Amino acid sequence: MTHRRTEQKKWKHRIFNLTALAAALSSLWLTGCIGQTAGQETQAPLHKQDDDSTNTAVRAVDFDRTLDEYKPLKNTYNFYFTYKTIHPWWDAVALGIEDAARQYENMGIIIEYEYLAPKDVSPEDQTRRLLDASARNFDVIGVDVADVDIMTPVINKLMEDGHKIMTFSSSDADREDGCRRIAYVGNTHNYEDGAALTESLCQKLGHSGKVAVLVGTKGAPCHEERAQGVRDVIAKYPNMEIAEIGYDEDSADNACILTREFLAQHEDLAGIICCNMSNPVGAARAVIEAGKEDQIVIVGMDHDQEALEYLQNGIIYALGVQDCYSIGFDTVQVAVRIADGHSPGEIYPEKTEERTTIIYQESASSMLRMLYGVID
Amino acid sequence: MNMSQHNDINERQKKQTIASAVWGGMIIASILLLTMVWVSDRARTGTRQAVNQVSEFYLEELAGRRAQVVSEELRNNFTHMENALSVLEDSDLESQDTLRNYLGKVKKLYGVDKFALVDENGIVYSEHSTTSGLSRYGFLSEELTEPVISTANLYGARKQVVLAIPVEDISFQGAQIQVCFIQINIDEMLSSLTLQTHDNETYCNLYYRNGESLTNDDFGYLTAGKNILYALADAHMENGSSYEQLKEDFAEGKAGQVSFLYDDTPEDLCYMPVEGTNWMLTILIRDNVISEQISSISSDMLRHSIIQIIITVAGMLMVFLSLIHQSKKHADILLEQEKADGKRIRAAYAQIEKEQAAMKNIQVAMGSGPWSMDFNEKGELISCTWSDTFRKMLGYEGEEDFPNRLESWSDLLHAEDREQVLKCYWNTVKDYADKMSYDVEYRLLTRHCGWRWFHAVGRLSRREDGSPITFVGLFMDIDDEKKMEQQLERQKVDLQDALAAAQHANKAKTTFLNNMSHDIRTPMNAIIGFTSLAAAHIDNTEQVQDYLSKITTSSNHLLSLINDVLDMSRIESGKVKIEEKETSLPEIMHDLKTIVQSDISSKQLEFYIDTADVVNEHVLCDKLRLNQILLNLLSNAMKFTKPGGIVSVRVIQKGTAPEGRAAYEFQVKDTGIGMTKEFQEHVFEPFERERTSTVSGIQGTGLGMAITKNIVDMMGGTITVASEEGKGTTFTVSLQFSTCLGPVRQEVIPELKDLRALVADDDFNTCSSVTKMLSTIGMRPDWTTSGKEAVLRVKLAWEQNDEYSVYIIDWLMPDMNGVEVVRRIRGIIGEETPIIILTAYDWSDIEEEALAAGVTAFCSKPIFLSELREILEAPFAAQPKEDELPKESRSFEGKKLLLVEDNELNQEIATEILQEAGFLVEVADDGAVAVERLKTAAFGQYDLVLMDIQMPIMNGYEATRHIRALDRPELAQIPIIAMTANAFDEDRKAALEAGMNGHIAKPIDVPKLLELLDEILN
Repeated sequence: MTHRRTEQKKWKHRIFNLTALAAALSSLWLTGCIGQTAGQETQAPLHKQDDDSTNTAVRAVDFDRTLDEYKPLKNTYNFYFTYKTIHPWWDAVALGIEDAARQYENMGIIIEYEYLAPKDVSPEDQTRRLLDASARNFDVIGVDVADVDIMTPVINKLMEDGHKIMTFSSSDADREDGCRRIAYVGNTHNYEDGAALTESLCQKLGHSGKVAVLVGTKGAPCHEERAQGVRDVIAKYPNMEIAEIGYDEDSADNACILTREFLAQHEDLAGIICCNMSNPVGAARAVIEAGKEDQIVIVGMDHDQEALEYLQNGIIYALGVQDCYSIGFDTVQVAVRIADGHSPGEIYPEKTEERTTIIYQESASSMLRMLYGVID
Repeated sequence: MNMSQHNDINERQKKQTIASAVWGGMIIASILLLTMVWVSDRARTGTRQAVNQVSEFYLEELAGRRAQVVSEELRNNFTHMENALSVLEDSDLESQDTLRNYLGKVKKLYGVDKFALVDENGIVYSEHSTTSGLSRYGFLSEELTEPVISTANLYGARKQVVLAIPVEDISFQGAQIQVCFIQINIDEMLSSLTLQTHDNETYCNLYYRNGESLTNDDFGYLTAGKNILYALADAHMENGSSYEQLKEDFAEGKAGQVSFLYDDTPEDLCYMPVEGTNWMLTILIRDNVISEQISSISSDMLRHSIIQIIITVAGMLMVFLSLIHQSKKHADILLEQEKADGKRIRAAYAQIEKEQAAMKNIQVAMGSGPWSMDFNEKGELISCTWSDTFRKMLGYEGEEDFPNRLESWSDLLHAEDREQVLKCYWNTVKDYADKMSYDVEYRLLTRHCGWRWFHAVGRLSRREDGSPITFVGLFMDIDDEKKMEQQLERQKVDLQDALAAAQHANKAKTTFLNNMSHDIRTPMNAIIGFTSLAAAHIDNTEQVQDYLSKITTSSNHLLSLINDVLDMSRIESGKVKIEEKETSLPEIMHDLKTIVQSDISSKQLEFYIDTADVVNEHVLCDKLRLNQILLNLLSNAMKFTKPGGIVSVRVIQKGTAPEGRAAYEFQVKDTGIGMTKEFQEHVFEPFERERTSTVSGIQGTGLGMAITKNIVDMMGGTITVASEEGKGTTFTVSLQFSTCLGPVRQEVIPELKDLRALVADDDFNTCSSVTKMLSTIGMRPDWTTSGKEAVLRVKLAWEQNDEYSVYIIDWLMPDMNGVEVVRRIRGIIGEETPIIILTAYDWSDIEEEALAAGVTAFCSKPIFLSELREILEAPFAAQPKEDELPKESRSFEGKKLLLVEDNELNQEIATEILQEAGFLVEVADDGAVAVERLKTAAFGQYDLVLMDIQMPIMNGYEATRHIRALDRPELAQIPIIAMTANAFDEDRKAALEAGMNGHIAKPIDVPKLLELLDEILN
């Protein structure tokens, strides 16, 4: 099912590739500029730091979100959100949810919610959670789909039973998948993210070399879509080759182990493309371990602090940072509208897209400071 | 030298002078300027040093205080968590809603960003959310065993302080709650510490010891979040400051200060560890803040100095001109004022003279004595003048006799008037508003006429401010008017008293009549009713007997009522006199016991009678009245005590009487129904009966206690009552009598000296008094309140060969009666030693049994010392005296009696009674008839005459006197007994004085009549 859906999107994504290429070129140009500036920054008086690298970081995540003008119809809402697994990435989403709830509270509207996940990704566990939640009279149930094939019938059944179901954060199951969920808030361009990251890596390698691909959870739409984007871009360049593809099941340790294996099996490996948050952390650790920091180009996803530090130190070449905060923030706004009985259309879109920004070494410090307050 | 030359010289000299002045002024100005610059520079340097020094102290103090604030804030938050958990109840854990409600309340209460509980699965419960927290909160990755302070570098760089404590014994929805934490926004926590303002470059921040920033705020030129140790690594350290020292201090958490150049800006940094954390609180101040302040201060000082000098000079000039102007103005005002004062003083003197003249006229007209006093501006008395008229009124001649001092007058004031008069005097003097007037009446001690009343009035002249100038007054003798007034007042009071007394008497009379009407009608109703019933059932002997018995009871009650009323009436009219005669107290007490014996027995009461410390047994007193007092009290006690209750009488001699007198206390005590406190206050008032008396069906006239009280009063004594409802009553009569025959012999009886004696009586009082008496006569007494113990003691003494020589045993003891005790003692000691039975009861019934058991003698309670001596001194064998032998029954057979009685019914009753007793009765209707009968009577025709007193033609006294005056001696000496309704003492006396041999009162008490007849005829 997932494969069929991915194929259907291929052509659509090919069109996007042109755009992505243009974006990559622009970012490369920008990288040079920022890199120069960043190099100067380390020696310059710290208080004068206000430049493009900072702007890039600030643009990546919008922490200054405020609620739009929609006036909720009720004074109290009760939502249930479940996501794939306990992981810092979703903690960032949680902050957006929290802030939106706090802003509603300031307006006198109480948002009560549960935001829970298993320790390991499990469609079965997610099914159980959804069924439990359906028995507890929530206004809206939100799910970050762990597996499209497994979760779609569950979501449809709940919709049939009169529950209001939405998807959010990293993975959707949409009409093309046969899912009748009401709306989705999150990353709608995983394929494009994978493709854009791969383009930047190919560019760095001069469109030649052997690469390995690390993916997160098998069947997780976002990861698979990114992986597909990777494959499609590599396929464009005849001198490029995918040596290995491995799934780390969203574990940095697994990613490290997989990378060790890649390095052992492919001495001429030139790059590693990482499709989730844990991939680049594990990959970087293994590369450092192997002493091949100068030899291997790593690109990856998301804003893990360790990954950002590797980016800052030049171990990782590029990271695609998603605006998780806005995902959480908009999830609550859309959930309120769904709870009020509105269907997607003028009041809110069926899919609320959140951006991904690719950042490089020169923006790492700014990003670390902005996300984690870390400055050395 | 011509004029022109002279002018030139003058002109030149003038120019030189001007030039000298200009140069001199410029030099002085230069010196002043230089001095000012020098002073300013010195001031700047000194100020800088001082400011630097102070700023160091200030920074240190500032940092210390802020570090303390942060530390306290953290501590408070830990306490908040503990407090919040301590109030978490099971009901809060019932559901997610109740838990969220609780968490919300706590969050609001403590004003934190988040207050949350975390369960064993890492689920975080907060006010509005339930979330997975394992990846978000680092401290949840391991088991929490102690409180933790951490900062959360959360996504979004919104750093927060998280304080967490471990939790035990709380579970929610099947999972254990393991952690409680609160989340505080660091920026908000530190907002109160922030020093930055738009124009003040002083900063405060928190850092970890590795230099990493805790907050999101800029710190001087250091960007938000910048590691301070990295940032200052390249800074240029000044004034002996060292970067290495800074690093070391941070690493070791030590306080310190450094000065450095950062980005070409001199700055001072002070750092201080925050207790309980690995944080360092830092305060940064830009040096330019200080230098600018110093420059500003110096410039200000210089500018201020110049302005100050100009202002000072200008001010002095203005003050000088103003002073001249004021001085001139003031002089004018003073002159005007002086003129006005002169006028006013002259007017005042004129007024005073006028007033004095008028006063003199008034004084002469009123015969009053003037006086005057002068006061200074402070209101103090400076002179006092008493006029000669004034002095003369008090009997004094001149100033030598009565000096012009206030005390001359005030010392003579009557003590009762003194305070009021002096108060009025001083109040008038000090009344600056001049609203009070001095107008008083008081007594003064005159020289020759003692205390006299005077009336004084006075008036004060005052200054503008109200202070007194002169106090002038008059003084008049009003003694005659006052005494007249007092006399009138007294008369008025007397009249009011008389009116009140008359009203009271009238009321009393009405009350008395109402009471009497009721109290007499009640038994009368019974008498008449039962008489009618008896007549109606005359054939039914049994029923008639019952009616007659009831009639008798009612008649007796009616009689006692009449007796009491008459007694009361006589007491109140003063007809009752106390006649003191030599009286034996033992006799009175024994008689008393004998009188009440039958009632005690019939009412089944326990009776105790004893004495204490009575050494004067013979006194001068009215025996009859003392008996009446004690009988009244005892009757009452018996009346109000239920069967089985206790009635006791005790006579105690008190050692408080003067020589020749003896003080006694008679206590009559019962365990009866008692009285309310309210009734106790009225118990001695006539006709007072407590409601309970009526309810209990106990009859009484309500006069007994009033009569008793009156008699006690007449005897000069007191009577008190102590009572408690349901527990009993004690009446205590205290009397003093003159003693006669001296005290009872108290010397030791040689035969009994040091011999042992045993007293056994269940009444402790008896034991005590008898023991004391035995000691007095030299014996060694032991006592016990138990019969059984008495036997044991005797046995022990016998075994120890130290037996008792005298035994005094009570007849009735609870554990073993006296006869049995005697029997057992006899079983031990044999027949020799005397054993005396002591009892308050009639022992005739048990006498035989007791003698058989070994009793040597009987002794009646209360026992007096004289009686005890007599018993112990006499031979112990009980010899019945002749006069104690039972008398033969009376017989009046054949005795002839003349009954003198004018009332036919009384004639009939008396005849019946006398004939029943065996008399031959003749009746005479009047005294005159009786006299005639006797004159003509044959020898032996009459053995005795019973004589009524009030008869129509000749009363009984007169008839008696006639009879006693008869020529025939056998007739003249015939026994005549008054039998009359005139039942008072004086009637008895009158009868005896008229020559009669006895007196018996109507209604006739048959046994008494027969006893008297027997006594006289035999």
